[in-house]
Amino acid sequence: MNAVFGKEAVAKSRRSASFHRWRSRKDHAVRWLIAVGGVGVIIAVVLIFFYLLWVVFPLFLPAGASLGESRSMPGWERSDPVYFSLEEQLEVGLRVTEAGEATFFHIPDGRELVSQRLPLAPGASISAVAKGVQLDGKTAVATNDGEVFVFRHSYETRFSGGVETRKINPELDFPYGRESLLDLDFPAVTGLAFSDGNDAMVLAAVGPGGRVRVKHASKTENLMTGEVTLEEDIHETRVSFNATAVAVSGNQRWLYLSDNQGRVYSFTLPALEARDVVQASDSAITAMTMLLGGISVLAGDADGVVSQLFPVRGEDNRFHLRLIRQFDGSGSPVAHILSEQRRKGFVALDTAQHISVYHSTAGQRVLYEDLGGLQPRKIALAPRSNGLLIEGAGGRLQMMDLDNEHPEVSFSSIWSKVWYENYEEPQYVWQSSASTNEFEPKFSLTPLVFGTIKASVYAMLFAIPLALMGAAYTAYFMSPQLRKWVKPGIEIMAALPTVILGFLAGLWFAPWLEENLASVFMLFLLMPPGLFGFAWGWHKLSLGDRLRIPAGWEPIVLVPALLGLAWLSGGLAEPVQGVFFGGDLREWLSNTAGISYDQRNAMVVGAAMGFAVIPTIFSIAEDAVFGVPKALSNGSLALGATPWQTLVFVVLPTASPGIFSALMIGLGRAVGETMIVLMATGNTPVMDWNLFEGMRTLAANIAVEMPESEVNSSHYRILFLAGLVLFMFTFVVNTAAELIRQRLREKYSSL
Amino acid sequence: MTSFRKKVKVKASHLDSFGYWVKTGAPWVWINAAAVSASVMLVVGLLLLIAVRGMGHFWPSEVVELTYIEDNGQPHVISGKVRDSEEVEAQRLTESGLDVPDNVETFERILFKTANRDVTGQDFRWILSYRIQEQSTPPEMVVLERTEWGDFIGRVEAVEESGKTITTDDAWALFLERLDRADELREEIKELERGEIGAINYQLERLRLDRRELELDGVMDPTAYAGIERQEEELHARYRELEARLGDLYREIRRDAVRMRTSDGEEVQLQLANIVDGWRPNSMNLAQQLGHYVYKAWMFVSDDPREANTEGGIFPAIYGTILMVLLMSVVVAPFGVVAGVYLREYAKQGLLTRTIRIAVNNLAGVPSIVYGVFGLGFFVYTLGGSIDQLFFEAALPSPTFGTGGLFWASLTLALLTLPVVIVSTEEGLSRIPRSIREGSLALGATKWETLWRTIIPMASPGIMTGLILAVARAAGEVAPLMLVGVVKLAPSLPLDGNYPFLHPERKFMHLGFHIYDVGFQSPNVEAARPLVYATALLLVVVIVLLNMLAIHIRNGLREKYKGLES
Amino acid sequence: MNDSQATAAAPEAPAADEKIAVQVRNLDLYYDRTVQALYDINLDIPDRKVTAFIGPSGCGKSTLLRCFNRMNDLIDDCVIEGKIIIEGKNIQKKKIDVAELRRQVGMVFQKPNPFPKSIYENVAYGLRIQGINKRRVLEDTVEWALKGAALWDEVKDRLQEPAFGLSGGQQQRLVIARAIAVQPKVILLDEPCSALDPISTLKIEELIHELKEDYTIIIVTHNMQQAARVSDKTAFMYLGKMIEYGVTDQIFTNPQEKRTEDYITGRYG
Repeated sequence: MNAVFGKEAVAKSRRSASFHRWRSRKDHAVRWLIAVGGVGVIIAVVLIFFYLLWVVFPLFLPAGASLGESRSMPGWERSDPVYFSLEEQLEVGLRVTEAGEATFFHIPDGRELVSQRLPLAPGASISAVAKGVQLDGKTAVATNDGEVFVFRHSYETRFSGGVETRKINPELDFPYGRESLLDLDFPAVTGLAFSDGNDAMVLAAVGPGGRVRVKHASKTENLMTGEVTLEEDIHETRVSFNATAVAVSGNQRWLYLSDNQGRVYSFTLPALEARDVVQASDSAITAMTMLLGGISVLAGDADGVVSQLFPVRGEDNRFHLRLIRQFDGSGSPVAHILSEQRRKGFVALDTAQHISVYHSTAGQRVLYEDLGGLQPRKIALAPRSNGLLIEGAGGRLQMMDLDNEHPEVSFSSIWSKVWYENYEEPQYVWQSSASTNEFEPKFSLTPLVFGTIKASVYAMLFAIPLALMGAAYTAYFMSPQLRKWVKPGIEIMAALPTVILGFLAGLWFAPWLEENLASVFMLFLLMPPGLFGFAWGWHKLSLGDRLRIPAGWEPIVLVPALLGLAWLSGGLAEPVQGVFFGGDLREWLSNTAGISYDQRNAMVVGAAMGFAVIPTIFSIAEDAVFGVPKALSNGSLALGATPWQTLVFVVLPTASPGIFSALMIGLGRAVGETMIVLMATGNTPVMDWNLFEGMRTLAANIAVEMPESEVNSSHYRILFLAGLVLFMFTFVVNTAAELIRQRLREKYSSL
Repeated sequence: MTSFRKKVKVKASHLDSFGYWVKTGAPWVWINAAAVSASVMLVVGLLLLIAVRGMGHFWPSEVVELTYIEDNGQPHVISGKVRDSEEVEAQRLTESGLDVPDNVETFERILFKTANRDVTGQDFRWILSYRIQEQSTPPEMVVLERTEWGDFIGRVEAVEESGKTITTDDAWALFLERLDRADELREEIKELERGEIGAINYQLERLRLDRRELELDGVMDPTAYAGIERQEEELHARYRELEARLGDLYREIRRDAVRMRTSDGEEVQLQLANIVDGWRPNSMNLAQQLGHYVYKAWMFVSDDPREANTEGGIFPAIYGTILMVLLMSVVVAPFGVVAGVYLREYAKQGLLTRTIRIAVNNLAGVPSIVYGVFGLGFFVYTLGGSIDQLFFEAALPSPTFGTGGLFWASLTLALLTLPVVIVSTEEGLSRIPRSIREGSLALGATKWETLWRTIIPMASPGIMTGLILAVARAAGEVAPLMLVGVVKLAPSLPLDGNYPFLHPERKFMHLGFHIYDVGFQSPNVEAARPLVYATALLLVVVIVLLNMLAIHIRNGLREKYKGLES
Repeated sequence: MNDSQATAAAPEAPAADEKIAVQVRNLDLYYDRTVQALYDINLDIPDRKVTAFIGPSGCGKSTLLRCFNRMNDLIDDCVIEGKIIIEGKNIQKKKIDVAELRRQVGMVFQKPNPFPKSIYENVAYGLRIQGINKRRVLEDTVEWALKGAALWDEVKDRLQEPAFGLSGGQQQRLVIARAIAVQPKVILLDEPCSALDPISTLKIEELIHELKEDYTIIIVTHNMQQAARVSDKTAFMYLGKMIEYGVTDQIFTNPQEKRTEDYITGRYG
């Protein structure tokens, strides 16, 4: 028999046991491989979230400080330092003594590099020092014999090979010569201020008895030779209060004086005309400095509180000094305030040897340290604000490393209104970068979030009616043959690249809309009554029966009707505009109604992004409506309800969770959409609901600014934060939608 | 009887009343239907708009010569192509300082492409149709496509060789003949520059890096450098040789010129070296026009861009897109499928797996720009920076992998499309009835054998669907690419003849970004617009076709397993 | 319930001429670690005989059947305690090669489940998996298996056609052919006729008669007539417990247990 043959053949060709062992080993290997691969992929996906978090996280870390080794400097204990400074690489420091000895020293090994005596008269000593507001190394010095001169320290870095061959050559020179620039007849100078800009140089000295002497020198540069000539102008005044500190603004137009009653006085320059008096604090002002940029003045008081003031344009269209914000105090009088050279931050040292590190825009103290053990005589802040050089008691030199990467970020600087320099009031502003260091970066995410919401809201306003009504009709009324075409037809639009939608919106639709604004509004007005009338006529004339168009094919019939309505509104737009809007709606809006109109506005975005969202909402909502068990609707119909009533009272309520999840997924898509907003709006971060103005969204902002932002800077991390916000929002929304949908599916299956 | 009839009648009229009709909800059904119509019309309208504008670009439209009364009242002969026309109100014209007749309310205004940007300073101008006096389409009008300054419209006066005019009966025929020669020379020059000289430059750069690497390793031995120097010497020698040949070719190609006359009588001498193509649209018959159309369309997809991407072709963008999508598929296909198989077949179906499934599902909804941010931070700066430190130290400080490039773009998009592939793989697997699995296992097959021989082949259409959708998505995605390596003009293709042939670190061009860049960043948007439409059309066609294919496969799949599922 | 356990606990002593194919000892089975589905099952299934499991739905007969080739492994959190000995080995042991076990203990399911391949490939599938790829051997075996499943005459001219094209009864016989092609020792039939029409059922029953010459057959059925017709021994299960096990004639004519009698006479089920 064949049977026997087959059996034997199989038995004969049966493979050895080792083959089967190999099979089972292969099975195990694959099991592992797939598990590893699968878990790996899932981890990779989770990594996205954690990576974003990891980049954002340092923004919220507090600043830190750590002390380095201390070193005793020979001879330092015998002289009093009046000026102390260090250069960018934290390698070379400068110390100027009361006697006018300027010494550059190597910080890591304490060796003296160059020493030079400032051109002081023999026996004279330095009574006051003022760092230039511009923080460029120029420093003014006043001596006890009534002379004032300016020196400058600079550093030249040379490389002979790699980074390790770096050599820093310090240099000290006198840009305005070695002669006295301002002769004072009051040798006991109590305050000195110095500001040297491109157009003018100002030296201001305060002496006993309220005497204020100011030199204002306008600069004119000879274009041919590049030679600078100074036009000097010396003013003097006597103030009635006890001036405790003096400061000059960076633009050489303001002089600020403080008194021991907590008041700050402003004077115009060069005329020395008194302008404003501001009560900045309750106790005496003990130190004053200009913040980087020379706009804000920082006044520290006897309680350790630092106040920030700057001139604000008032109602009389003139600038008046205003108290902007105050920073937490240490309780002891402020001795020194040091401004950072690259950021709007500063360091305050009080008489009880506490240091506080602040950031003005963020309005916060980021670091508070007690240096009591060191008893600092003088401190200097590194140009990159990454270290403090401290001269302690007994001439000990000590470096303190500052880890303060992102002081400008605080909850309030990102989400609340902030009073920025040169602004008339606190505002939400996103303006992340400018050409100079002195610019105050404005990192308020609020206008971007607002823009995102605005764009999505208008998009949803456009998409929801079309998508939901379309979905209800397609799922419930449309004939199956038509549905077979319509559904994939609309769904395929979800795949259309948004760059194309954005391009059409920006280059075709936006100008078209501007031209045909009236027609579009006309269409919106005409649509409901027009459709109503058409439907009634169709019903009344029984056209469906006459033309043999069965129910479920209405959309085909409506195509010519809609085209007709569009044509009609185009035709009516002209006369209607002529009657109501003086000929042109677009002009009327800007000229008469005073509504500003951007060509690329929220309406364009709403339409384009709405268009992009329609297929998403349509598809999911249609599935939800279509999935409602027939038994339910049949039950309603059997009770005599019309199809419409059945839809509204039975089908839609049942499908409502699905519809809701469709809306959420659509919203998620609108919120994160980038290219359409990027191309169809002006991308200006304004906060305004105006339909005819643009906006800037979080996503578009990332696309615009990310490529240019410096890695690991605050800007970079804030953009990551924006990305994280988008990620979390869409993830949460989608998860909620998905859960709702799953529950709905279970409900259907039990029905 | 009568009462009965009456009753019916009353009922009928009641059914017919407007109020009743509204109460049944019928009008609302119509309104809903209108939403469908409107959606479909928007979709169709959009596709039509792109199609019409995109396809019209290559048609050799006729050149019109007309006598136009300028603002100063003087007649002026101009020629060009009609691009667009619109109605404007008289008021707007007078407001912009134009002197128009009082009694007319609206005027027809024509956007006229006059070309000759080098002569007149503009490509386009608006003309008012009422001021056109005479209008003709002279058959001898020539349109020249040039490498710079856009098109030229005019008449051929004479052909020149080395500055001397050649007299013939048919200057046009001679021009075409000489243009062919110039074309060949140009092709040769391009080959030389791109091919051999490009290769030499590439090798020189590699030698420079080799030398730097030796320096970094602290090698002092001059013999180590001698080899490099010798090779450099050789390459320089080769280069000089090629340069000489190139010089000859340039001299050759500069020999010929054509003297053209514009409609207003100005004479311009144009180097043939700068002329890409020339045709006489007014004397073309339909077959010639069609031929021209196909030729131009072909040039569009096969040629390099010119003039800041606003003219020429989009070949590098197509190339870059395809290469990136391929590279992405190579990554996403195995990982996506493995993850899908793991989740459906191997992972324990508990709460954790369900959570992961939802999470993966939702990643598809995370904005693409977020992936771009991640790609830039993680791939480019973190991974790429480390790779540079480890392997490409010689090239620092200029980054190799530490900057956006093809590879990182592909990885970013792979991550972006991973959820699509995972979800559709899972869906494909879940569609296969349990009985098939059990049947195979009951015959003594291991789990892997069951998967490999039965389940995966059955699920493969589902997996394919996912891959196609992923490819379609990747091809159209722009936002993340802007952060991870796409550029407006890539100096060299990421796949070329220089070892190691595939250069995944290079920047590349992309169709979607091309649209964004040319449409929004280019200085001459008006001139570039037709090209953007054409590019958009190409992209739309590819993506719609891919999606239709995916839908088709999915539907086929559903049909196939209908019997099994019940 | 406790008394029933007592009676069922001691398996009937095997007749002298009977070889035991499957021994079940003290088998407990839990789903989800907590829900017990089988209680202390003890059973000796004779070699080359047909054994039928009967009982009302949900009584655990299919679950028990699926223990014999460890199909329950596919269910997460299914815990089995006790012993099942086939060919002298306890198949519950971890290091048992499950694939090899399943080759020896074939299974046919309630609903025919041909693969989406040709008829020929369906039958050859099990052989190919075992690395048998010689065309001659495959062809001979396919023919033999199809003949063994009484399907050869109906399909011999269309071996390359998709198996989906066959009728339900044919598909079920194809699946049986597929099972016997790998030459198992035991064939498990899980309600093989429940989805079939009476004529197809009859054919399958005839087939079972023929197959028991070569194989040990265990069949789960709902249909008591079928059990009576085809089986040599019958086990009656109720609520996860083995109530009575014995020679079919005796079970049907003279059941020892009240519940068996009630079930057979149709008082519940």
